[in-house]
Amino acid sequence: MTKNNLIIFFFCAVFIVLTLLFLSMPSFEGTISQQAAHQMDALGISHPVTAVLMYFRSLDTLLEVAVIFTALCGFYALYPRFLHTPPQPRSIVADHFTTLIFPVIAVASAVLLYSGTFQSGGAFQAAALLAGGIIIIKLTRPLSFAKTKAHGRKFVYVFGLLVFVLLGFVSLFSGSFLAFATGSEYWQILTVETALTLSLAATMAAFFIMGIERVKR
Amino acid sequence: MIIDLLLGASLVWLGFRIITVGTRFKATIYFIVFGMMLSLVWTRLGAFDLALAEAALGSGITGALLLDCVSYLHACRIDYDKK
Repeated sequence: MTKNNLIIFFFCAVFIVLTLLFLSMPSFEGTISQQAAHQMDALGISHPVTAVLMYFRSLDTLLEVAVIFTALCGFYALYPRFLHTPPQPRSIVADHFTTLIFPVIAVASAVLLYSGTFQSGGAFQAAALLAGGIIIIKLTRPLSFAKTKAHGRKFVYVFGLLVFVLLGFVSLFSGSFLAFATGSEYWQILTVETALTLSLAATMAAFFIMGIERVKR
Repeated sequence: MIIDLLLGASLVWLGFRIITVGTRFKATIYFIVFGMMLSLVWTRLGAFDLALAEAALGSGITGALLLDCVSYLHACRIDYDKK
């Protein structure tokens, strides 16, 4: 048996074992997660994923955002200073396409953000969509965002984290850190998610844009 | 059931192709296709949040960055050959 055949055999074996494992997975009926899902209807946010992200493990979500922010700090540290943006000829088709598509992307992102309260969606998905929109703008119009102040951009990057931590301190009055008070939790979480969407979209777009802008060689 | 099996098998096959295909460009294309298939698998498993994130971040932004990286390395190679 050659080496290649051995690898294929290995992958097939892994695949079959995983399939069998998946088929023999127990159902979640009657377990503790089922009970938690039943209790979820009483809360303001009815979607389980958002509830886990924001109620049960909100500190994890906060630190997750902090990790992304730290990655951006690393990017800034390695960012070349003498940037060269090639002045590309603007294509009329791409220009009109951007004008048409970006409002659609922005609205779709807002819908995703709002739908996180009752179905799949939420800050991270909405931010990814919005970041895609920003990247399309940057690719079709290379000089856009060039005039925005660096301080303003940096503020947008930290904005979500800032709102999250501030609301965490506000909730200190009613209990412990990041324990949102019942009654107003819906609006608090929607505020946090909106701020996170803006910040994360800017951060992800910055990863891409800083990645494609380089030193003039 | 058959669709699930096909999706799972194609994932394994695509993962195998990514590491054996040889050229960077082809591997990147396979990676993007892999991300799309993975998001389909997440959808079949009912994890729509993960499917959205995988399609947008794992496949979209990472794939575009990798493509840009491939073209950058290609340009470096051309410069090196000229010297």
